[in-house]
Amino acid sequence: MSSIECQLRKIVADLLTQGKVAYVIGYENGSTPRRARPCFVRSPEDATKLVWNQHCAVNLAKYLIGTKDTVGIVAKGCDGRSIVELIKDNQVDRSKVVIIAPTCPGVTQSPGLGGEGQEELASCCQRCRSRDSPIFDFQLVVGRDAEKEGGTVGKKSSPPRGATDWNSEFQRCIKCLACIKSCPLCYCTECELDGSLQSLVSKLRIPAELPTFHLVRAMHMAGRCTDCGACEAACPVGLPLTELYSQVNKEVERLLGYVPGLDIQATPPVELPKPKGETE
Amino acid sequence: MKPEYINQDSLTRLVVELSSRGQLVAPVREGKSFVFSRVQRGEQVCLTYTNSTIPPKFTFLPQIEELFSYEVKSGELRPPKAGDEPVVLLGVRPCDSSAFSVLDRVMGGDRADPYYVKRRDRTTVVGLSCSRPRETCFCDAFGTGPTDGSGDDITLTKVSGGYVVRSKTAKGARFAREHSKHFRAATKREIDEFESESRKIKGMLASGITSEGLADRMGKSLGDPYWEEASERCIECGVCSFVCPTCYCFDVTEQVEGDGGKRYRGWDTCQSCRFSRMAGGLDPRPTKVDRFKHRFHHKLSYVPMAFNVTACVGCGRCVSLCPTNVDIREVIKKW
Repeated sequence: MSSIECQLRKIVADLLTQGKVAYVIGYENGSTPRRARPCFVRSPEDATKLVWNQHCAVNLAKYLIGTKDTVGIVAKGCDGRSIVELIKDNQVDRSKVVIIAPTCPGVTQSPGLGGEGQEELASCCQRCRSRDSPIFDFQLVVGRDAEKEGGTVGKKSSPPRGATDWNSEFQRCIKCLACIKSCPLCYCTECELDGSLQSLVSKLRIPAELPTFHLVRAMHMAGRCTDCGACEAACPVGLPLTELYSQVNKEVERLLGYVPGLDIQATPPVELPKPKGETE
Repeated sequence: MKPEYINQDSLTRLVVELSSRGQLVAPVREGKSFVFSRVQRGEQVCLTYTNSTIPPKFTFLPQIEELFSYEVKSGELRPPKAGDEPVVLLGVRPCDSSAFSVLDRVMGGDRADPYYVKRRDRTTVVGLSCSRPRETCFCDAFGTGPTDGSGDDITLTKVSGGYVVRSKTAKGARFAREHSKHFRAATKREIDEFESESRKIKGMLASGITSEGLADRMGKSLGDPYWEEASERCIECGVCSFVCPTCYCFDVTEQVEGDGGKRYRGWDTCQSCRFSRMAGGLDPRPTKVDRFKHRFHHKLSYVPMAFNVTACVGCGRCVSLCPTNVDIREVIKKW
């Protein structure tokens, strides 16, 4: 057990003992080797199942949407950035979330079903600018053992990809909508891209409409995507979606100076009305 | 029928022959993974693959298919132009082949689905025994592998220098006859190797899961609080059903064109919140827990009760591709 895991379990057990949170969303070991998965810790004893390693890939911010209780959450840099955007979009109430923020070692991307090739650092982690959550209630900093504890960011990066042939990539899309369903920032209850009668795209087109489906989504992620890689991890056919969204967000940063999730104070390029009673 | 043998070179020639006639659907590499696809050039085919991401069931159940077109004025209904030309589906793993047997029960029989049956009938399934189970494979739980795909017409099993070939159906025997120049009778040594290889691969799989009495056990689980807990991490992305070789549920959509239109059906997923919503807004499965529970009960209890076959073949696709690691093996073990 790493020192981070040790600290993490202690904090979570204390939070639950003191009744400060209803439960804590974190990671436990998965059902297969080299996997970790979301878990919901409800008792102090259960805190011992929490783990912290390079397999803790799933963005847990997704599970905050719609919660009514005060909950604790373990947040990597990208989970934290997503929480920031969700707070700005009035989807999450900051006063009802206790954020425990360990430094992220960078997460691995599984090689897919073919099982060929090595696990490598997820492409979004290779671009990551902040391994620590921008907001937190507890910060767990990797000590001097950082190197030993698997600080992989920027080390095991795969060689840069060539130019992506988007048309051929999109041909593989089976329009399962997992990219949308897995996205922590996709909280719309009705989606324009879900192929229902009133939607912009048709259920009858497989692969997805080029370029409508993917570009509408990319535009909708402009100024919002926190580059967490959830969509890419969920995509069964392995589309390099974060590459597309990060391109869009590069432009947002260049033109509008906004990087999603980095700064809780920064005003998003598309500002939403504040809830009643709240002023600037 | 006596086992036959095909050596690697002959198989390569056979693949080229079939693909040049445009009849072949087989696994080809796509990036880091594999897809079943209509093969133009024989050298694209890769029979050392582990398994494809999207199962080959789409050969019989396309993701989108036209059911009919119509004209309002004349009241005329026209069936779609469906091809009759033969198809050879090569390299199907035993789990996926056994999934065809599941689909045959559901889509065939007394109330056969003509679209499915037509595609199934024109296709010869050439199965390929596994040589390297993945850590998420559990076909042993259902007796669906790793060397015996119950939906194969003819099965290839790798031995030194080539494959032992066993015809299982009349269609398979016909295929072997038609291409007899590539086959010869298997020698005793080859059959021995085949048998020891089969035993070895079966030995590699020990999932510790049993499907015995599963439908009954599942039936008793319906009201259990287990489902609340188990479904908590599910994000309802539906990847499990898109990659499942036995999922067959569909949605019907209409495209109106002038005075007529076309009706289509396409894959749908019971994990979508729209799936069971009816006109007027009523939804018998309004929550994530309901939908999650339904998926497992449908596979492990409802289909077994209605068709006497479990709608899971242990391919492990949902296990390895679920982004949040929902694992059907844990559900089966629990009950």
